[in-house]
Amino acid sequence: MATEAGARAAGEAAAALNPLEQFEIHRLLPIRIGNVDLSFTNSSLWMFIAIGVVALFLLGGGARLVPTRWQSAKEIIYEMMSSMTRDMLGEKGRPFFPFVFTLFMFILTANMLGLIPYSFTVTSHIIVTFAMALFVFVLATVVGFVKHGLGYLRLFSPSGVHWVMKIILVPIEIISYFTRPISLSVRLFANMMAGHTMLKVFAGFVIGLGLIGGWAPLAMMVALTGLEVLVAALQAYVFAMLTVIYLNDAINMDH
Amino acid sequence: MEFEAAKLIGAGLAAIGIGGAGVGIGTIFGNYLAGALRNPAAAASQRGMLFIGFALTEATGLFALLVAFMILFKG
Amino acid sequence: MCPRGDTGKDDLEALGERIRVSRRRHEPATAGRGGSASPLGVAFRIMTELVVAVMAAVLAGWGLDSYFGTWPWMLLLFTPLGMAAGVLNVLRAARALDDADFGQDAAGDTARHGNNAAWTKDDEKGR
Repeated sequence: MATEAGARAAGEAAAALNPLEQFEIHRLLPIRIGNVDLSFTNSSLWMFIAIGVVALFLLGGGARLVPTRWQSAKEIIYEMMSSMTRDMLGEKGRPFFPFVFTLFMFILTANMLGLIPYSFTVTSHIIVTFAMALFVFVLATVVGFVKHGLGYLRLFSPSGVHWVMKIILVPIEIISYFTRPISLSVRLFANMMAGHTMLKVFAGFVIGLGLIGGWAPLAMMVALTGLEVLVAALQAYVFAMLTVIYLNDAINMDH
Repeated sequence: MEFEAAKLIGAGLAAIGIGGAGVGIGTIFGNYLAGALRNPAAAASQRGMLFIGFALTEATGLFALLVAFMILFKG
Repeated sequence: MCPRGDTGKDDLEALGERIRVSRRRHEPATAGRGGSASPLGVAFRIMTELVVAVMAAVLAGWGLDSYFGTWPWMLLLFTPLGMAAGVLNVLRAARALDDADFGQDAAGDTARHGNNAAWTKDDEKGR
């Protein structure tokens, strides 16, 4: 009895400073169509804000021959994505550059906006990252079949391998092909969720240790926030780069 | 065993997997430094690969941290 | 080589007149496509193809789920199918726009130079 009461009190204390509370979805504008809940949530709000920020960033800044600083920033990001696409895919990959660029800008902005206090990190929900990763996976598969027909299935049997090895290798390749959307989505989701949870946990330590001992966790939080900024940009770049790699597998089958 | 105690023990066990991320990231940066000291001119061209390798390795370690957090706060 | 002064201007005007005449002769072949749309309109059309395909498939999957009670399997089945259909629509629309834009002029060029951005072997030969 006493242990149950103690456990309940501990549970309540943990719930008061719950680091996972920041990931809860709140309905800002409840909309129900029939049986479907299509509410405008805080997640949707921050997605719209991310799109707005990206649009403002890309539309502003001017387009002069001698670039302003804003225009230089835009050109640097454009050049980074363009060279990555061109190096890996060649000229055949030009049609996919807008998609990769949009993906990169959206994920980068959504990740960065999550670092603002009292905001909501859109990409810290698995369904958001899974939707994007599933689309990339389906895109690469469809493109592969459109370009190579059924020869796309040769992706699963690498060349120059003895046929006995192929009996073991082909199922492994097939399984690893289908884990692509999972790994792509969970990578981004885990980085975002773990990063923000760690920030909240250390914030709890700062408050818990009070005025005397709270300086150590605070210094750790400053370092962690810097790391989170790096991780936000890096994970966006890795997502875009893996998209380009999967498209390269589909378009130029170098296996 | 009480549910709270089991949760805490489970989270602690799951967090052991993050050590793998530490080993992996150290390996990547160590190899990059060793290569950069041997061929400083080529080091700058591989800096992009360095960060990509770091991100992918860190992600795998973070999978374990994610499991630990989920056990601790969602059970 | 070219004469300067008034005679030069007359030559230029004659050249301009010949260009205008030949352009008018070539235009009727491509005028049928109804003029070129603004890039924003084109972008919205292609985006609509993709989004509508995905939304329709999700709605179909969800509807079948609520009818047969097989949540969430129908939705999981139909969502990738909708994405695939959307991607195919986008590829088809983009290829149609490419043909409308480049039309006959590109056919001669690709036959001579080959098409670097070709997608299938047909495209490489310039069809």
